[in-house]
Amino acid sequence: MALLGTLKGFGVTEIFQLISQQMKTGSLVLTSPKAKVTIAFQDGVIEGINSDHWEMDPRAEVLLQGGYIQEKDFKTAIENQKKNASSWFEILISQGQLKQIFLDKATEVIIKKILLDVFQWREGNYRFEDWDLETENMLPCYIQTESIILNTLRIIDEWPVIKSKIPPADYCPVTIMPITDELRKKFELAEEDIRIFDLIDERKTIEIIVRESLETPFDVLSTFVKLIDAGLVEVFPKGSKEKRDYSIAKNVFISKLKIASIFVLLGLCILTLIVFGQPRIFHHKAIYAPIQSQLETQKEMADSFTRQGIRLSELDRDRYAR
Amino acid sequence: MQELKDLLSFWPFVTTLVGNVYFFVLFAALLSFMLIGLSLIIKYSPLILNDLRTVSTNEIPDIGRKLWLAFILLIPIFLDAGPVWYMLWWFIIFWGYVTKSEKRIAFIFLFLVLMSSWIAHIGAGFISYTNTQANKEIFLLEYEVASPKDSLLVASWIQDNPADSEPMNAQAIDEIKKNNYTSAIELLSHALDLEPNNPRYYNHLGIALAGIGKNAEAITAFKNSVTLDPRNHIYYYNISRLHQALYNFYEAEQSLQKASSLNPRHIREFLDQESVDKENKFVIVHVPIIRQLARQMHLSEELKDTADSLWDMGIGLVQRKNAILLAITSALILALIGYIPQDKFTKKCSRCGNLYYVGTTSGMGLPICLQCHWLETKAKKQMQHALPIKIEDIKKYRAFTGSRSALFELLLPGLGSFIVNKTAKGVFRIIMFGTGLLMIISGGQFIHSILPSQINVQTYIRLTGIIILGVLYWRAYKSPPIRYGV
Repeated sequence: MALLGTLKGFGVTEIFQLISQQMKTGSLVLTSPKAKVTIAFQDGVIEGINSDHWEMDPRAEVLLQGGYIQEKDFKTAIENQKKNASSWFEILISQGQLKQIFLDKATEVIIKKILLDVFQWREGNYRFEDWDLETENMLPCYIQTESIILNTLRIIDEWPVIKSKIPPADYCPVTIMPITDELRKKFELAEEDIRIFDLIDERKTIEIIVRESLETPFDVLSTFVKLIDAGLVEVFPKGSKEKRDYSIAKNVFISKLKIASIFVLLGLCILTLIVFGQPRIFHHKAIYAPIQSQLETQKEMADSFTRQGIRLSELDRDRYAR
Repeated sequence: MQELKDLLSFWPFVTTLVGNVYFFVLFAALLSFMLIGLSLIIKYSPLILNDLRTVSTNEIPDIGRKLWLAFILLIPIFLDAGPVWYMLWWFIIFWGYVTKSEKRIAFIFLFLVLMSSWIAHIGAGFISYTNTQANKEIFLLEYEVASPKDSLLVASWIQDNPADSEPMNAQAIDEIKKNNYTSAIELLSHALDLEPNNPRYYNHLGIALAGIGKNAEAITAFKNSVTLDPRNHIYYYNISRLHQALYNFYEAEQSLQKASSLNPRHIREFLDQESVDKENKFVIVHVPIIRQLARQMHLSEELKDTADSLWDMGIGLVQRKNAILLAITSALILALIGYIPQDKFTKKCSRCGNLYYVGTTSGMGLPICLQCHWLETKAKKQMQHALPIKIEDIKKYRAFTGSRSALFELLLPGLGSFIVNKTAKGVFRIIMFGTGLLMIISGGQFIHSILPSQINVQTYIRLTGIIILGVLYWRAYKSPPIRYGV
């Protein structure tokens, strides 16, 4: 059975959800003007991904950029893989030049990145073939479809606020103070946040830290935003290390000034409004004078008629004349 | 009950009753809106604080943000603004955060602001009923409890307002009582020139003409009354009395039968009265209560001043004549705020309690994050495949919200329901709370009848208020907004 359609009519989330719910096995081919991505499902679980943009194993690129393997070692491993009938990473792991955990992390990053991209496609086609499960040229993985859907939806949900606060990629982050348990609890910092905090060494730019972290750019950038908002980290243009102390001192002073100005401004606003706003609580009674006087007149009249012994119930409804 | 029914035929009692009901509804609505505003503050302040933190990139300390928010919310307190301004202001501030059902409350509120000038006018009509249109003096003259000062005031009113026929009729009745029939005829003729289709004036003219022996003209006048209002038994009764006096027994009997067919009980009372007091035969028809009520709403200086004061008390800052402009401007501001992209405002997921920016709305129109939306669209049989952590989050949040909303509901019935997006329940409970509270505080009395009646219902109203609050708190305890586990 093949399932065909356009992404305008049926979104990527719905397709993933359907395959997951039905626990299908097969290949999903998503085509957009940007790229063509093939995802292999086994009983509704993602077991492999391939993109036509990949000229070489994308994990190698991530590991090379992050400095987890050397280019020379990688080239040697590529040459050897043909002779040994083993893959390049198996050679590097056997030689102790790569750890399995880094390879797994790199796989995770690539898959998360590509799925985040795919989930945001609004144009294109999809084709699901349940007879064709070819994972040979694919990046192997084992990901619960629900968890990747949830994670991607979370990123889309939180992205607007992160986007507006992302520091420039070529800036260097600098730690302002060490993270204590108290700060960790106060700012709700997770293990990943601490790991990224530990990667800061005053020389690396944000871009380098993103590569070295083996996390998705969204996760690293949201951690930076969290750390900057918490006042634990500040960013400076690259090469301005010598200006850092002065800048930090200046920033601390300006920050204190800002805080003071916030309270002073608040006080001034209140004072101005009290002086020029003519607050009602200072000028008026609960009931205004014209109304009060009318109500008092009513009461006085009622009292006067009571004194005269005239009551409404004692009046004749019908008046007679001769 | 009969006493109450009798009192309903007296204008001061009716106007006081209707006026008190009117003010009660008005103040209860205002109080309810204020409590709804308070609920919005409690519900949405954390979201605004979160946005302030995001915008200020954590540079403002917590206390500073809270103080600024308190200042922003309380800006109307620093101005000469009435309670309506607070609600209007709070709706503007929270517009980006409120749910669809809460927006409907704002639309109702804006409609009230739009109508506020007329609402104040009618309210002023009830407050100033003793001072406007010589209404009080007309009533006192008709019921023969007027002081000489009241008679003079009516005379002076006639002089100043020659186009107002009702005081002429009242003075004519006074003149008839004093046997000054010629003056009465003169006044009634003038009144009929102004209002030629008023049967009451013809009736009184008939009485006055009979008083000076112009019986043929008197019969014509009574017949005019009957022609203009054939359903009023008094006019037939008065014709029958005149025919009786002229020994036209057949005509007298015919008219009496007609009158009896319309209101036998009343005619029996007239005849009984006549047997006691043979001198007074004819019956005067009082100014209908509806007419008195309509008269007290006529625009006058006193009424305008009172309406302006009433409007200032409730709203203020701008003049009453600008009420429509105020409502339109407010609606325009709300519409403009609606154009700000939704992802600029923090929202709280109604399922898991997470703060988010993009999200969507559930089938019920409640805010929901994309994760929960996805979980919600899944078939239930597939739920075991969903991420257990997320399900756990939702469970924890439900347990937390359940206890929190129950506590809030006991603090202010309706507040907890508001917080968990049960708006209809929240609004109902808040209205009931406002009503009960107002009953206890005011006893249902805002304006006073100039002529006291024996009926005093304040204690009963206060007791009813206590019962309403008691039942409300009992319901809030027994039926919290969310029953976790049900």
